[in-house]
Amino acid sequence: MNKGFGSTLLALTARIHFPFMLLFAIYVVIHGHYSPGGGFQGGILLTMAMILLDLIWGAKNPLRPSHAFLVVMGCLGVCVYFLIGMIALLRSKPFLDYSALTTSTEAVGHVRAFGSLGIEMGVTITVFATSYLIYQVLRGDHSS
Amino acid sequence: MKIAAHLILIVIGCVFFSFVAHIPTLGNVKKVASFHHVSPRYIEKSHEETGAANYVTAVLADYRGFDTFGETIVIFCAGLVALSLLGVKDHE
Repeated sequence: MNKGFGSTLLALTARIHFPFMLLFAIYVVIHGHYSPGGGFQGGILLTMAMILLDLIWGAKNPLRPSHAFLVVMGCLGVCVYFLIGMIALLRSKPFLDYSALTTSTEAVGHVRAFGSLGIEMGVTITVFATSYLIYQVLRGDHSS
Repeated sequence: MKIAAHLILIVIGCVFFSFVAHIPTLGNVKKVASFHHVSPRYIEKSHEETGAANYVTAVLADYRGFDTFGETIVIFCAGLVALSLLGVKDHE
């Protein structure tokens, strides 16, 4: 086992915690419709999981992405949001009107929930990429 | 100069304390400014219209989706600025 900064205990604890933190982040995003939570909070929770790995393994963190990858990922989140908004515009409805995702006029609420879930995903991706990028930059990593 | 600073502080303090009396008491929804405009609509119709049981999510992601779009872009720009200010090596 890669022991990180020399402690088996720290490495093992991080290994056990990491998947549960990811699961909780996804739960907070998806369950945001029924309980406190949503894209912003879920993105920060994803960042917390990655920071845990960084604290234990430092530069040897196996999942550590490059700065360019994080910038592209942040861009991707904004694009997801924008494209979901554009679907409505292309079907001649107001921007971000999620009722354009269906053709029926009944039970629009369920479809609109999927629209907001989609944009929450976009927000999650952007918030995760940006906050993790800021963490990496503040720690003193330079882009090569 | 010091006297002027103290005077300004006293005036601001008086304004703040006079506002405290007008803060709505806890749980008194009728005194909240937006109660007579959009709040009843969100509370009564948001589940049916947006499919979200949580008012906050309904407002954030659906009714005010354009706002959240702007927020996302602002956060992304903050990351870009942090990268461009701190993430580049100095040219010596």
